[in-house]
Amino acid sequence: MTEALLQLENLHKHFGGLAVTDGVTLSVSPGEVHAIIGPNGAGKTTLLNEITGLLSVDAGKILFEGREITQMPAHERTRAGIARTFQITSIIPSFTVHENAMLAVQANVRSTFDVWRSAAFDADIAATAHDVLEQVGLSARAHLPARELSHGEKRALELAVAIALQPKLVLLDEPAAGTGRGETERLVDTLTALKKRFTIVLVEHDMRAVFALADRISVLVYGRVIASGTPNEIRNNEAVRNAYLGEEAA
Amino acid sequence: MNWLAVARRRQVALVITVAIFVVLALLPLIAHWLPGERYVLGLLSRVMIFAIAAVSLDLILGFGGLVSFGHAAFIGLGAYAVGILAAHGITDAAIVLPAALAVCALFAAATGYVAVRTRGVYFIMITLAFGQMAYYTATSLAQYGGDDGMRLDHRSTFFGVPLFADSLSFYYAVFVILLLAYLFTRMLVASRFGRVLRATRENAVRTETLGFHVNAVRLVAYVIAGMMAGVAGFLLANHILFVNPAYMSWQRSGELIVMVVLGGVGTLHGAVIGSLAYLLIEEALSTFIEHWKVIFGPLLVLIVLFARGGLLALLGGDRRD
Repeated sequence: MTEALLQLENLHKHFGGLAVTDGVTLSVSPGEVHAIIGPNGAGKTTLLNEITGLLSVDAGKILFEGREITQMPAHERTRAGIARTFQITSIIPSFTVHENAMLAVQANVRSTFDVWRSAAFDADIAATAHDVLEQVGLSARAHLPARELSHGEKRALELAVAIALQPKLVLLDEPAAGTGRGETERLVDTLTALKKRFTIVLVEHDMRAVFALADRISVLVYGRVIASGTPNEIRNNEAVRNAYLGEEAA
Repeated sequence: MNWLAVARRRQVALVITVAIFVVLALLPLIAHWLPGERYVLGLLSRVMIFAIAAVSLDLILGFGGLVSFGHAAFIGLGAYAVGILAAHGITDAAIVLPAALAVCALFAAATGYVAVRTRGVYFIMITLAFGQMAYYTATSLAQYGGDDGMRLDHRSTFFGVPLFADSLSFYYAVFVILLLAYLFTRMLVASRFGRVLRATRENAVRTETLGFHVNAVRLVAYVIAGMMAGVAGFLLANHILFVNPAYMSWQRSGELIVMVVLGGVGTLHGAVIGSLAYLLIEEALSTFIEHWKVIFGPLLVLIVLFARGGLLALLGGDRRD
């Protein structure tokens, strides 16, 4: 078996008396789409925050490419190759769509403290950014301020920004949240194309999207992983049906 | 809004900026024919000195979202570098100015290291605290005049030459430094570094998760701004030939914020316009009325209420967003 790209070992996190992450152990293999599903308040976004370093854990270990990153600051984890999108769209509203993408491309080039040249005329970065926008179907909107995009377009921009970082692992926090049916289908198409290039951890409520994309699924309930397996195993898992899927069926 | 409107506003802003600098450059020629030439040059030198400080504040406030309520401390540090070195017989700018810059960089790095870890109101409070710390330290320097400050005999020389002895050459020295400070800051905010700084203002978490060290970016901007304000302090001491702890007081820091807000936050030329307007209104009102602040206060409130985006917005120039 190949070495896991991302490995979570017995993670714990408490907010006061509430255990939001309660002994989570999980491993993501290179190349797979690993979906994390679970009811609201199960601690899915919290888990993503712990992986990206926005939240510290109380106990447990996070390994990325076999290296422990449990104490690493968020920006270093991104540089190590972990990119993410946010459940609540997180972009730079006054920047144009293109500049949002350029910012991400620039993050990869690592010349933050270059103060001598105008960033607007960075031909390489501009071209790469255009490329990325093309992949999510936003190139026609490139020169609009990001705040003027529709909700679905903002979600696409979120995705573009994550891709622009050329990460090894992409964490997607409910990419389909709030989008219409047509947009969700387009999103699934985009992600299907992307899954060949990146390892993806997908947190999502839309079950059609999850079962269309995921190679493996872990089910999180009250901060615990109650099941982990292939989509078929999860679909037929009794505990999962009771805890989660059953709710939707009912 | 469409890009045509944006382009038009940028054009207006450019015209306004160029006009200001051209007027400032040509003014001494006109002032030569007016009575009170020295007074006019002196007043505008002071305006431009504060404009340098206001531009530096706009860098961190307007582009980094860091509302520093202790920015006057750097003016004071720059001024005290002049005063303290003069007390020991060192009055050459070739030594004094680098010393002023070094002191400001050190103070900014040490206080900024702590301050940039905080956000919003906490940043305001902590910079206020550091500013007051510098203020009280200055008042306690008994051998350098304490509360009363100290007088300087003459302006700094430049490699032994008294280049800035008369008010006209000093005026142009200040003008060139303001122009350089403005152009440098403009370049800075348009650079890759500036892009990241602007991004941190709007969405620090996203910027951090793009792989940027947000606090380091903020700290670098804070140090650069502090050093620029230190240059303003160096000039101010040379201008008034007097150094006083009051330069560092929180009221001064507040005035700098008012200047930036008055002109239009996050535009740089707004900071220049703001200091021009603030100091000229202050000067005019205080000539005619003893209690000029009674009028000045409400006037500021009205401007902020009716000209969101500052005086620049009234003139049709661009503003933030």
